[in-house]
Amino acid sequence: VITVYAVVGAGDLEAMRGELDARALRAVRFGRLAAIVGEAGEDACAVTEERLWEHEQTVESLMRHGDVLPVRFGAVLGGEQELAELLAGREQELTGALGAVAGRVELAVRARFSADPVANPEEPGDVQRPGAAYMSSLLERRRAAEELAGRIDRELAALASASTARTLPAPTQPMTGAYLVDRDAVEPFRARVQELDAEIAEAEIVCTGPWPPYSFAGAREEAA
Amino acid sequence: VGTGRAEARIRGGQDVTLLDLLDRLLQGGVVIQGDVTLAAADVDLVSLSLRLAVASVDSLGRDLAGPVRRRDGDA
Repeated sequence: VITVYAVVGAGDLEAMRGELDARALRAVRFGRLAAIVGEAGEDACAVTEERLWEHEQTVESLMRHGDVLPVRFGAVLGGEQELAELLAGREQELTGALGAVAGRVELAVRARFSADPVANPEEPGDVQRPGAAYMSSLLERRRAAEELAGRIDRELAALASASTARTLPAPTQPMTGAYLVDRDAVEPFRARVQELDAEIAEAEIVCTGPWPPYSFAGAREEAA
Repeated sequence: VGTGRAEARIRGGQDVTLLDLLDRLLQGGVVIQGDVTLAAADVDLVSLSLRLAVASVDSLGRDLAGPVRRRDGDA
C-alpha cells in the first residue's frame, strides 16, 4: 500500500534525490512527469493532524528543490502499478498544471470581522416577526462580507498570477482566499496584506504560507 | 522530520494555520482516485472534527508570530 504526495517534473528528480532518500520516498515515472510515493502503513486511512502535517512537510521538502503539484491528502493505492495505470492518461493535463505553478507558491489569506457587522445582534428586533429579524441580520452580515471580500480580493489578486476566494466561509470570517505568487514576490505580497490589515478597520487580515500550490493544482471546478 | 505543530506557531497562529492546512490538503491538490483512497465522507468527518477543535478560539492569532514563515530556500 502506497500513498502519493506530489507530482513533479522528471527533470527535477535529480535535485530531489537527497530528499527522496532521506524520507524513503520513491518516484513513479510517467512520461516527463513522476509521482512521488511512500509506503503507507495499515492505518493509511486514519487521518490525524499529525498525518496531515507529515504530508505537508513532505511536499514542502520537495518544493525546496523544484516545482511540485501537491496531491490531495488521502491518495492511498494498492501499489505502483495501480498508480501508473491511473496516471497514464493524465500526463498532458498534469504537465499543463505543473507549468502554471512553476516558480510560484501559494499564499493563504483569511479575514475576520473586527466586530460583528450586524448592529445590536443581541436585541430581539421585531418581536412580532423574530424570523424576519434573523434573516435580515444574515443578509446584513453577507452584504458586509461581500464588500470586504471584494475589496481585499481585488487588491491582492492584482499581485498574483492566479487566485481564488470565498466569501463568508464562516460567520466570523468575511473572506478567505488563495493566491499564486512568484517565489520572489512573497515578501511584497505579505507587506500588502499587512497594509490592508492596517487600512481596513472592519477586519483583521492574516496571511499564511508559502504553501505548495494546492489551490492551483488543477481541481479548479471544485474551487468555484 | 520536524514537528508540524512547532511550524504552525511560526506561520501565523496555530489555529488559522490549521484551518489553512485543512482547506488545502483536504479540498485542494491533484485528485488521484485509487481503490483505497480516503472516502469523501471520512474526509468530511475528519475536517469537521478538526475544525470544531479550533473553532472555539475566535482569533486569527496574528500576534503570535510573523504571518509568513520564511523557508530556507527563499530570500
